[in-house]
Amino acid sequence: MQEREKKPPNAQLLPSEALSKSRPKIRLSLAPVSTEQEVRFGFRVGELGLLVPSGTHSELVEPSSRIYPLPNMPIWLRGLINLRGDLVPVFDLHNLLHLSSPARAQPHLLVLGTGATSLGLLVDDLPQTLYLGEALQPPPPLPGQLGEYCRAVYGEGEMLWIDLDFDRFFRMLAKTQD
Amino acid sequence: MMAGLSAETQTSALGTALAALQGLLDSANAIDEALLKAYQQGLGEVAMLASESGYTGLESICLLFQDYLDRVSVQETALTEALRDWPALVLRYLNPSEPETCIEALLAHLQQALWEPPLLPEDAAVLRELLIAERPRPPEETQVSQQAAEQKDSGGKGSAQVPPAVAELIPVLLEEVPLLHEALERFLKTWQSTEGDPAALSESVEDCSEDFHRFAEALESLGFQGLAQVIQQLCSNLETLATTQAPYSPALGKLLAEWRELVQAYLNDPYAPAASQGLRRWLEQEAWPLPLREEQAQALEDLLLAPDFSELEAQEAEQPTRSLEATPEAVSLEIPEDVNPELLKALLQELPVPSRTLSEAMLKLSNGQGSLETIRVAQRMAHTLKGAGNTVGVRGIANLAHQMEDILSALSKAEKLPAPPLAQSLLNAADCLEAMGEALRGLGDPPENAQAVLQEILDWANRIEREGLPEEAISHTAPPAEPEGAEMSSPAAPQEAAPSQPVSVDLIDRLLRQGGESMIQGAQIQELVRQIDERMQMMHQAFKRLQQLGDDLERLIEIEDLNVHQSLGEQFSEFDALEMDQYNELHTTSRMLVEAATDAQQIGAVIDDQLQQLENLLLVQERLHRETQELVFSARMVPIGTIAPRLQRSVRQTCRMTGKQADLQLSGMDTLMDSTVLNELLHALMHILRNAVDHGIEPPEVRVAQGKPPTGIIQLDFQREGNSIRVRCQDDGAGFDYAAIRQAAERQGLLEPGQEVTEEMLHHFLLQPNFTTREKVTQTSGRGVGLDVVYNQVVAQGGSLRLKSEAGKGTQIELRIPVSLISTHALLVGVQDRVVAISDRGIERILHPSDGEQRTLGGQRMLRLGEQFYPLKDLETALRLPPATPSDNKPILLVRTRSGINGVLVQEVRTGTDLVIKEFGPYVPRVRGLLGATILGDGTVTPVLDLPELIAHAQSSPVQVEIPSQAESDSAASDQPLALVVDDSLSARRALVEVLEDAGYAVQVARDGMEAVQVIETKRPQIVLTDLEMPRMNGIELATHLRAHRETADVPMIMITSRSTEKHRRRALEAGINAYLTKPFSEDQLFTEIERLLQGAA
Repeated sequence: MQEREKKPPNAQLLPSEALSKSRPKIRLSLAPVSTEQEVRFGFRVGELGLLVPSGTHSELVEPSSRIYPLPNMPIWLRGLINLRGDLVPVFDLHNLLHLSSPARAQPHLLVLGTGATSLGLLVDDLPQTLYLGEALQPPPPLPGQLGEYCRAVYGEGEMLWIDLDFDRFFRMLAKTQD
Repeated sequence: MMAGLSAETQTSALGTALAALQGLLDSANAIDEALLKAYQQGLGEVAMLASESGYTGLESICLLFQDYLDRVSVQETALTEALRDWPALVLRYLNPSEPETCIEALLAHLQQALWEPPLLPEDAAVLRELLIAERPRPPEETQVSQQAAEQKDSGGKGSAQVPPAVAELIPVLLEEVPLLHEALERFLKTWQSTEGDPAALSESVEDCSEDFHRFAEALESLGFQGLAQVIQQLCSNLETLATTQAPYSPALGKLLAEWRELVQAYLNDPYAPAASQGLRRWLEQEAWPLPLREEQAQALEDLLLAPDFSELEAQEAEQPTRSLEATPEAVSLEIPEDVNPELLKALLQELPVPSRTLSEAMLKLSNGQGSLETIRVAQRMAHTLKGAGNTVGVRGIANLAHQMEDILSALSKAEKLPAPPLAQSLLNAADCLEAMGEALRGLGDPPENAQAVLQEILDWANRIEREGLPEEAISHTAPPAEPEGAEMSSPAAPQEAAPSQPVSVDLIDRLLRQGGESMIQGAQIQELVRQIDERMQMMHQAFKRLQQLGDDLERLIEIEDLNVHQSLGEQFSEFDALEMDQYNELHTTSRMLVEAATDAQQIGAVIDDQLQQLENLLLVQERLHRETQELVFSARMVPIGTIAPRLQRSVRQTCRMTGKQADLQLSGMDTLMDSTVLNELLHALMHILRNAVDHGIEPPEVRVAQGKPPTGIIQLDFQREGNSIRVRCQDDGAGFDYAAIRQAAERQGLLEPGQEVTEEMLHHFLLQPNFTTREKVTQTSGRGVGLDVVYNQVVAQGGSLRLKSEAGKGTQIELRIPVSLISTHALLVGVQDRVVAISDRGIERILHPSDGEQRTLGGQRMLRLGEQFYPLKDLETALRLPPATPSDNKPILLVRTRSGINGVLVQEVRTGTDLVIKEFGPYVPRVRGLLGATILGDGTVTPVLDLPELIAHAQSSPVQVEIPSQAESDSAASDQPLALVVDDSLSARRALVEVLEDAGYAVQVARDGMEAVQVIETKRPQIVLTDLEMPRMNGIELATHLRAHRETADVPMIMITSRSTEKHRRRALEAGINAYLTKPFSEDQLFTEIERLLQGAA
């Protein structure tokens, strides 16, 4: 039926749709992994590679779900989405970190965490599985003040993958806007 | 001599034994080995009995005889004689009426050549002496000697007496003995019959020795260590029997059986040497598997002779005498580390009711309305509190309650009511106890005056103990025994009647949140159903059309048919028209089409029905949700009266501290309010009350001079108005000193001298942070923590505050607080292409676009409404959105802000609705004017604005884009000075933290020096306040450490400790401490030092 495809302007998020269309959650395998190679999930934001924090639930959300902007907010806080009743803030790291972004009309929306401590990030690619070795010592310098919030940096292939403490980072960010 | 058992009994026992010996010979024809053996055993028994009775000489003789018999041959002719004579000789010895010659006879018996070797003369001499000395006296003599012995005994008892507590318990122990003996006999029987059954023997031994062990423990706990050891030895022997699987031995059996009399003898007179000796000898017998060795034996006997009752006495000792001085430790609210958390939780839940009842009772007494019953109730409450305090180990509460109880008990016994000085002290103490209870529950600071209050009470208690109730302390009016008027029942009584269950506020919050979510889901489902309904309607239309088409098709076919018919009519005239119809495929198909359409319609009708049912179900569900929400909601509602005692207490305390008199009159206490909101409101209210007493009410003399009653009146009234609670605080004090406010404003640069100012603007100043009319900071108020704090608290709860005052007459403060935080009424407003929700807080009116007149005055847009002018603004500006398209068609919202009424132009007002505001998580920056967001019924997320705040804080500064480093962000986030409090005591830490936070400091805490070092490493504080004695790293070590490092070398440090000696002070100062304060300290002192040091450092 035609009506299904075309969404009227104020489309509501039908619960059934939201549930069926969100991508399968990326589950971290809890099987014991050899100490040399840790399995992590990484995603790219511009030229930065970031890692999903260990043990954190993450999910991809329908790119077309509406992001509702909030007034008087910094430009890198795009707004909120309604994820099954939770209000999840969505951050535009490109803007925040002044990254060069490959022109991407529709970035993917990756939500980390659940409930009140979940946050959404606009990411360039679908997350990928990574087998990481030892963290780089000493850690290489990072843009902005990311270094302070970074737990470890890994090299994999040609990318640097940063294990960022998202929680602390965004809390600090929120506080400074007061 | 005769310990415990009477002479007759003892002699008869011996007599029996001796008779038995004789009997052996009587029944035997010739003497053989077996007989000899038996005889020897018999001798052994005699010897034992003799020793029990104190005949050590006789005992020795018997044992010697026993020995000799070992070495004699059964062939000896004289043996029979010797054997036969012996018992008689002994009996003669034991018979007091026999002459002394019997002793010789006894000795001679052993000196016969028959024995190899016979008794030596020297030995004989020793024995002779013993025998003479121990010989039983003739009856009169015996009596005398018995009396003498008893006197000696009682004399003995005088010198070494069993304490009464123990003496009471000895009969109990003695009662145990027969029961134990039964157990032993059971064992003996088993032992006899279980030859070759090791398991049974072991089991039997276990059962028996278990009982004995318990007995031994009981003995030990009472102080009878010696006897306990005896029993233990007995048990060890029993156990050896089991392990060695010893075959039954009648001799040992008999030996075991002797325990009873020996122990009984001992317990009846523990200090009698004979008893101890008897026990010792008994255990030394060779027949035991584990006989007692010489050294052990002596030690045991000594122990038996000297039981140590000191521990028991110590426990039974009198209560430690009342101390004279109240020490800081005595009022400490420390909770011991090892306290059971469940116990503590239960205690904390229990504390409020008795403390409150006690306070009410004391209040009654001090108002002269109390009765004897009041005192009794109070005494009971004090007792409960004392017990609670002692159970958990909180000395502060236990001590204070204890002393109060003593005083109340004295009053109760004397049947007198306390007069004002004593009543006032008791009231102070009750207040203090309540405050302590609250401090423990985290609702307030530990009372500062606790030590002083305890001292006061101690003084009274000591005085009463010394001299009885002092005259001036008791009321001389006859106290009513029955209470006047209604009996003061514990306020908990009606509440306790209905079973209740404590539920954490957090749980209720979650329930409410879930409920809210559920309602939103329900709304979404309803919306979906509505849309399906619409579709259904469309589908009906489609089906109708389909049906129509079907009909049309049919008709067309019929017409065709007829045509065909007519043209072919002649040829097929014999066929029926109907038959032709049936076989016309086109016609058939069109028929089927129509039928299908009709079916579809019918199905559609059924779906319609079902949709209708669904809608009805959803309506029911919505109602259920709503009701559930209301119920959960009401779980949080408590009557305002629950905070009444604390409000009263606050006023009393402030009056005490400022020397003023004020009476707090409360009304509307039955009004229900959300408990969380109420708790937060409490702080604001206490502040308002403190202000009223401190700034409002004049000192008594001044009031009298003005013709007012010396006691000021503060009226606090609560009223429910729609969705809000209106709180009005009216005092009859001096009112605002507008001149002083003006001066202070000028002083702080908020006002130009000579500038025109309205009362309302002056009110506005009062609500500014750090505004104070006082030039000096005092303990109660005036530190600048004033009405602005109240205002902020109220606003944070979505409420509003209004001031009114008349010089000389009084001040009125009116608060409006929404009844609950959960659902707010809001306006949905269209802004550009979005919808935004505006909370109705502060919105006074919604004006039609044509109401009033819009003007511009010097760049400022204004709205003129009647006589008033209000500044006007676009909502888009406040939201920093692109400017709105000018239009004459915009409604205006009149908003009351801190500084007055403003007008806000909005694009369109869509509707008003109740909504649930969801708070933002930790990652969303806090923005003034943005309360949160909500999810509308259709799933849209809209921000919820608070207009008053939004307008007041419309900033023009650009939004920060750089990520600051942590250090920068920390300092940017707060220009509050940071203090570090280091103390291992939770209550001390908390107290300091609150004091500092109230004064505007940001505070971090550490439990000891090492934690402090870690905290300082992450962020350097402006000042450190530390205790001296702490685990891991104490205050002085901390100071040394900090001074040794360049980065922390000049952080000012204040040491706050109870150690007041010069030595400690000097050591601290040497280590680098800048200031040394001793507990208890006053806040004034503390802040003076802090300011001095910070100014020095700056």
